[in-house]
Amino acid sequence: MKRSIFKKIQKQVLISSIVAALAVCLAAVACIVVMRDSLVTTSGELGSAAARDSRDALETQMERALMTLADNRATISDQKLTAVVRMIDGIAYNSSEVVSNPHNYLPRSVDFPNADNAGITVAQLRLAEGVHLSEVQATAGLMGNLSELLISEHDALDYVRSVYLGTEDGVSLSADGDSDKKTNVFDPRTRGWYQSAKETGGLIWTDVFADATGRGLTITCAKPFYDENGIYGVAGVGMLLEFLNEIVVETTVGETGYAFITNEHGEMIISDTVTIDENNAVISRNVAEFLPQDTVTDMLNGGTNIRQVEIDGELYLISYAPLSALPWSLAVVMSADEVIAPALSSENNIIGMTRKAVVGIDRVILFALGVFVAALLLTLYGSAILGRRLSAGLAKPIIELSEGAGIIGAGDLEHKLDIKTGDELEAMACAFNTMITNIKVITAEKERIGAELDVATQIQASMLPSIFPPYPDHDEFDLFASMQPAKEVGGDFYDFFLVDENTLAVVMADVSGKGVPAALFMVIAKTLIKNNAQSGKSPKEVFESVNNILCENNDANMFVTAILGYLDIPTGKFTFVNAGHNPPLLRSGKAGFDWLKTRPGFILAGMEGMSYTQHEVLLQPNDELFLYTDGVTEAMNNEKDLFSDPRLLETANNHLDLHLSEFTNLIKKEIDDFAEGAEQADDITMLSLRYTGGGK
Amino acid sequence: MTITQKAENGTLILTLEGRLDTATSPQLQDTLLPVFGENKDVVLDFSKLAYVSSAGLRVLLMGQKEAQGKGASMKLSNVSSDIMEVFEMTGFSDILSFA
Repeated sequence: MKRSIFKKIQKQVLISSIVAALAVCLAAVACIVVMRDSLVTTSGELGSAAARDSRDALETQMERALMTLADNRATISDQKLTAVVRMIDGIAYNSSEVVSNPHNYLPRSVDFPNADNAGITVAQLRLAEGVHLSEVQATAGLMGNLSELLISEHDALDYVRSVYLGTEDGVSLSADGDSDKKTNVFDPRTRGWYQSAKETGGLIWTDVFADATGRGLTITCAKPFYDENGIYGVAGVGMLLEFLNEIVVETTVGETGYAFITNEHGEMIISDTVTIDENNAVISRNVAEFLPQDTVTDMLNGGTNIRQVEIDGELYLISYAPLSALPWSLAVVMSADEVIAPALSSENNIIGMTRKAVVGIDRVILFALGVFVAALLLTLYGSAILGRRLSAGLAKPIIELSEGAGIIGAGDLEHKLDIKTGDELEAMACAFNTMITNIKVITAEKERIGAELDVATQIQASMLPSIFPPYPDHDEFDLFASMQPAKEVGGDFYDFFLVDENTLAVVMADVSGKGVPAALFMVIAKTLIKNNAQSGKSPKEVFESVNNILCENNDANMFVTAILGYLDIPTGKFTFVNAGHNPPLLRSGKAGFDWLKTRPGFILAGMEGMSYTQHEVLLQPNDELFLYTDGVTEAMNNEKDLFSDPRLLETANNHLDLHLSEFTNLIKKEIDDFAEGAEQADDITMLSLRYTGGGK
Repeated sequence: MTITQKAENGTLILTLEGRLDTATSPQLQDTLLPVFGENKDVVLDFSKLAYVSSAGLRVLLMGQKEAQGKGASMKLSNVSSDIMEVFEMTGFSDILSFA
């Protein structure tokens, strides 16, 4: 309890520190997170954009490169083949020239193949089976003029393996370095190249075939030559295709790219897929087996293009260009994945870098959180200490103040608060001390008034006759009265006195209001009534006189309700006047109490010049009168219920024949029971008078 | 106690609600006495009044005197039988006017 302010301040400091720390840290973390998200997004976008751009660029570049490559390889291949074409054209032309003008040339002899000439390029004569040199001496001699040409042509191109001529009469002249591999018998007219060229009448290319001596794939280009009678023979150039392999097959493009040449049938004659079987037959794949038909058609029709094709479920780029010497097409194929691989790798690089950055940022966030937790713990620790100091500083004087107030509250008005904090608390303590000084003055004043009121209560009590029985020598009546004020001094009063030796006067009165004003007014009223009664006036005259006197100078508008009654002791005649007071109870004879109701006059001191009517009732011996004030009938319980006239009547009738003082005490007890501890709001005043009889 | 004021056809009606006793009668005194300067006809509506003590009677008497002094009238309306009994017992029924 004493420490609650202390704790409140401490809690407040703690909470505000934590909230501030939380806010700062959360803001920082939120910023980092936003930054992180933004970086991830940007980096992702950047990555994919860069990848897309570089992929496009790479694709374009690669396509162009592929096209260039295909074109370039085709051109190189073509140059070599064209050289052969030019060569065969020259040979055929010269041969035609020689055979058309035999008279211009002397016969020149040519040797049959001689193994000693192996490796040396020499012209060799061979004859078809059954043909004798003597029969074809003229032709052979004429052909001999072309020996030098054939040899020089053979040596002109390193890939030319053999240059030869064949004639219609079965003579063959060839120039090469293979003298050791030949016999003297050879019939050119049975060979495919001879027959094709003769049949076509122009330049032909044979199919690719495997060289009989195992030197690889070969091909022959042939062209007929003429004399004035028509075809005289056919010239041919046999060449190894090894150079094409160098140009084409050994062309590698990246990791997966490769090149090949197809002939006009789509057979991949120059390709690393070409094999030669045990019968020396060439086995090649056909492009139609794996390329789409439109691509195949375009390629075989001499198109130049680059296309995307699907081979075995994977995308490839194929670029092709035609050769011009032959109806062939050179193609370069490359996996599309590989084309875009650098793009993918740069995309992956960017994404990887982003990921790394994000990991870095996450680490920063973690670190920030760590710092935050550390800061929070530090803040907690710091603010706990700070809060303790702050609250101790604040709470200590407050606790002193509270304890001091407690001591003063317990009644020690001499206690001084001594707080020197130099702030509002000190001002408060000062004000408190001043207040206590004032309270001491007020209390002293109050104590003085209280003491005086005590005296006043005693005076008031002593003004009411209180010795019972009051007149021991009068046994004609018995009388008891009591007054219990609600506050120290009350406004009720009763009185009784002997007006003369045969007349007993009784008064029951209630001054409006309570406390000192009512008590003062009561003293005046009581004195006036008694004085007037003792001056020999009747009750009516007494009230009329007292009323007028009280009305003078009654600025406070006080008033009195009162009953004044004279008992004629010898006869029991009771003459009374009622000025606005509660009707008395009368017990007449052996019956119970009943109201002694008369039309009452106006209250005393209310209005000047009022007249009052007096009434008489003849009391029989043992008749009883009970006078009271409204403090009896209007006593209230906690529910604001009134004790009420009926309850008074009932209570009185339930307790007949008691001694008068006992009766009064009993009524008082019933009222207390009824009130159930509710504070007494009004003076409770009662007077009982029993007439015992006039016969002395 | 609650006092509500309402003007109706030149008559000021004060409706008293609750108990008119030592605690509440100063309130009525402060409200009632000044009204006679401006209002010639004042009616105190007692329909919601539960109780009148002697302190209440005093204020009613002061009101009555104030009204007479200013040449105005003060009338009581809807007085319950319990309260009327108090008026009769104290003789106030003779000096007060009832509407």
